[in-house]
Amino acid sequence: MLPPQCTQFSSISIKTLRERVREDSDFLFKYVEEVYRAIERYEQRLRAYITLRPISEVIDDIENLVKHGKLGPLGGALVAVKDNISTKGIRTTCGSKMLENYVPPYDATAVSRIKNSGGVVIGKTNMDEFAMGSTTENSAFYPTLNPWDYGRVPGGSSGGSAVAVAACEATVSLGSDTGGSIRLPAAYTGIVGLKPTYGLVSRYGLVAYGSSLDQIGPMGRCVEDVAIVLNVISGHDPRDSTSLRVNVENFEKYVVDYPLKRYRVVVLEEMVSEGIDEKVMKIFNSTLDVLAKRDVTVEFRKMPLLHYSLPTYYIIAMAEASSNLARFDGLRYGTRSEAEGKLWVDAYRKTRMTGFGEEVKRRILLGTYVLSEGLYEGYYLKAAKVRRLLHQEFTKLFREYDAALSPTSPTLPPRLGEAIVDPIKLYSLDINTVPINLAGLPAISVPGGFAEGLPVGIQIFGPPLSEGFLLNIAKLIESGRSG
Amino acid sequence: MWLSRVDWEKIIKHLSILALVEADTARIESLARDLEKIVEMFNKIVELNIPEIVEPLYTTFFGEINLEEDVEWESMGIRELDPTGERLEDGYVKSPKTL
Amino acid sequence: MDSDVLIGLEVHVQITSLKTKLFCRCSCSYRENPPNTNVCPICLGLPGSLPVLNKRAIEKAVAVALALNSSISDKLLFVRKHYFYPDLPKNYQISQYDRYGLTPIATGGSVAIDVDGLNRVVRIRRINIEEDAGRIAYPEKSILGSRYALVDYNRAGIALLEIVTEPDLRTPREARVFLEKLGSILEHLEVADTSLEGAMRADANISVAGRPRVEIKNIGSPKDLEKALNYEVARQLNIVKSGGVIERETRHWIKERGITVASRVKELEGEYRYFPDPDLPPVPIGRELIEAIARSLPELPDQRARRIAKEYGVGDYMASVLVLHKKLCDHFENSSKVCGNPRLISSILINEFLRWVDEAGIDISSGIARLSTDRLCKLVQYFESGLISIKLLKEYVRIAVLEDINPEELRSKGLTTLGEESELERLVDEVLRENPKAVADSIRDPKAVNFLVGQVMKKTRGRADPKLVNEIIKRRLSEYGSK
Repeated sequence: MLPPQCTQFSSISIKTLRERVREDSDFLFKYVEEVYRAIERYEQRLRAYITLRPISEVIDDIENLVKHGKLGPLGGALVAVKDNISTKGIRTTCGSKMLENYVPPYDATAVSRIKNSGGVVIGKTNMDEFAMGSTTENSAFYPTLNPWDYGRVPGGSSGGSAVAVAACEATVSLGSDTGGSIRLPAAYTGIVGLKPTYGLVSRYGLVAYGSSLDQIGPMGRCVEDVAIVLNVISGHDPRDSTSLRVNVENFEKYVVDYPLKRYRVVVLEEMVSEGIDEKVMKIFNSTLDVLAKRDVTVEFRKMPLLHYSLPTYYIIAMAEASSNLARFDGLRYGTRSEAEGKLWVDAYRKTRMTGFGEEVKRRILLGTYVLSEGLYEGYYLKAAKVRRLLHQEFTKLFREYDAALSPTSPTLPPRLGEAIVDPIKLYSLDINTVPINLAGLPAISVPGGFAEGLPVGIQIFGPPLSEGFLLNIAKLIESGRSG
Repeated sequence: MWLSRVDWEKIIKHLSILALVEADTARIESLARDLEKIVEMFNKIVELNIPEIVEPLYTTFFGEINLEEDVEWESMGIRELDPTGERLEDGYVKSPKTL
Repeated sequence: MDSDVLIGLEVHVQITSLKTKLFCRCSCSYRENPPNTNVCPICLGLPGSLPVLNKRAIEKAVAVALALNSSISDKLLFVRKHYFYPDLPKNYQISQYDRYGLTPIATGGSVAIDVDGLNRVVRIRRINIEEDAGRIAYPEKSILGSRYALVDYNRAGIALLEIVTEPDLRTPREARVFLEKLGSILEHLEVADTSLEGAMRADANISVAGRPRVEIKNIGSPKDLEKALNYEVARQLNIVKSGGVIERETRHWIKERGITVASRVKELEGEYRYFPDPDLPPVPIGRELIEAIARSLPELPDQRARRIAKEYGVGDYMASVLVLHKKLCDHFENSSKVCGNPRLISSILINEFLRWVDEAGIDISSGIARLSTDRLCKLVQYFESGLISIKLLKEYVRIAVLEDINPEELRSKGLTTLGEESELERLVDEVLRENPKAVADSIRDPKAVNFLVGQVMKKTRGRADPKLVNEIIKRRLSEYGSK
């Protein structure tokens, strides 16, 4: 089910696009026009993009692909790219005043792979500043609205990438996920979003937030589109020391609507107890019924350590963020205050005071705090130990089960302004998504149904490199869904 | 670890020096309140008992790390980053004064 | 007084034998290049860029660790060290650390030094691999009076070894000898050419008379190290004598003025917020790699000193001084092979050459160019043939090193142009005094000179050049004749 901004034409999948182009070589150009029509009509309200490329440039790129017969697996798909992923020659702001005019001189590996596989970057999407947030309200420019209800947030931090896809202002998109930033907005906007195993997709060119947690991942309107994009962007990259050397499978072959094995899945009770909205639970339970009909065994387990995942996650993420964001001093790139006559510390302080928003400052200060002398062992080191224990628990769990299921978010999409007033409340939206990043696992959020006209996302996660099975289970949910 | 609000304002000042991030004076009180609340959430793990032998986990990367050969590539040069040259003087990056 | 001085060193050595930087493949040869040309997204710290470790840097560091008898860690762990400074692109340095269960590449070890015949062992605390920073220049050529600074990032990211000693050094002279020995070890290992400007820098910690330790930064050579420490010992003793208090502080060595000055950056010191760099997972250092490097280690200064003492018979002390400078030692061995008399050559090089190289303010390589094997052998030959006295030989060495003048040229200007009576002239005069009849004969009949020449040759046991002897006798006879 798609929001009202989409037409049957604009909501076309990559596979259909490829097929139609084979029959009619002009089809691609008509499709581009259709997408730009949607943008023209809705973008002013939705504000999914920070930088949108003019249609003429996009048409030029497509003509080039057609001319050289390089439509490839993406078939000329229009890819919206989160604005923290470097694009050569297209400004990359990270949703921050700090980088308002920063134009990278190089492409992220994921972006160059998209380009080499017949994808065309259509624009750069709105996000919480430096990916710090869960609602896209922390963008330094403007919030992005939820296409299902303009009074609600689309989730974050990849809110722009989610909305561009959900509202058919792009074919597919790239997001980044540090603690749920792909899955949460996918859930809130009714699309599919996948956070790969840590190391499956190169981080080269992704502006780091929490380096040990960050992954780039695909977002699409259907499981199949997500699998196709994952095929393109995954695989070893010598420029990223944390890139896995694995033979990348063809993920498309997992996207079938029959189970590829007799799955045993688990539900962790901690993820479906405290603070979960009843309406969300209802959809979650109906999803379990759908799976049960496909011979999937569902069992329940406890993992008490999950109570500690939120502080563990935020300590690690903020510590890494305080370090990663140290480089923004205005000297070599980015916004800067007048340097002459000032001492560097004063110039830097001024640049960083005006360039960073409140949430970013909050996290930098706290990250600095947990790393400081005397506190390191109590906070950062301790968090790294809890992380070890969590990792061990998941390793044990997935010796018994193929995957685990949970609601992606404990609630329906919050109203604008509702969540960001209280940081703890804001952080709690990630309660079910952050443990996955701490353990480096793959996870997918797939629409499970609707409550009060709003989409509810189901999270499926599994052991490292289980993306194929996750896609298969997601496909079972997608095709078994009634509404 | 349990600190009063006044202390938090002092801590923020110290952290500001380290991180070169300063809060608006007008907002320092609400910032202190926020930080206090968040640190209270952090303190949940401080109280958790973990056996000494547990090794910290800093990365979940489990593969073989890639190393680079000692072979020169063609460098980009800073011009490509700053084509207008407005940050440069004689090829140097202009910076504020140092000590 | 000397026993009250404790000195420890932190030595930073560029691995100049590498072609590329530590974490990217930009060229290391920044000394010849215009500013900011050997740079890329990685060494400029652009958002999204990631470090990838240079494989050969590990090999070089392991070789140094083996040479210093340090114990090598089984894995290479990098940390981030945070401080804001314009020459540091990421505002953190990728380095190593020895707390919180982290470990540098090597710990422990020692270097034996021979200081004017006194043997000492200097313990090594640890060896780090880390990246170098850029270089700061000033538009007004000096920090004072410049309203801004200029940064060149060509040096940023070059591989450095930080070698830290225990406070085992007791005098500025010992510190100098240690640094020379360390430099020589690195040169024998072909890790670094320490004569290159900025390739070996030292920070010294010095405590005088049990007072708090003072750190002196920015020392560029062994010679400056001795000077800076001498200055500092005197400065601190003065304070102590006049009843003043020495504070724990950081001072900078100002080479041009020959003084140390207190550092003005106090507020930022100390809190570096180290934590493991999430972009660089641990690199295992295999036993096989270490063993392979151990097998291929070249002859090191201590072994070489033992060999030289035996092979050339120059004595242990002379040998220990020669091996302090690899190039000097190479020069000694080459020259000894070409013209023999290693004892004379070693004495010339150690007692004369080094002194004048210091005085001229040139490095040993330039000194060697001025006193090449050719020139050195000529001098040895002159001396051995009795043509010049030892005093004159020393004078020739002085002029050769200070003024780059060929000894042959000096000789052609006449042997006495230096106002010195040569050994040979002395012998000629002796023979003339002892043979008044033959002198009288020779004045009448030039052919009778042959007898006198024969007498002189007898005295020199045939070592003198008969043609020369002939010349001198003729000159003397004509002087007598004119009287």
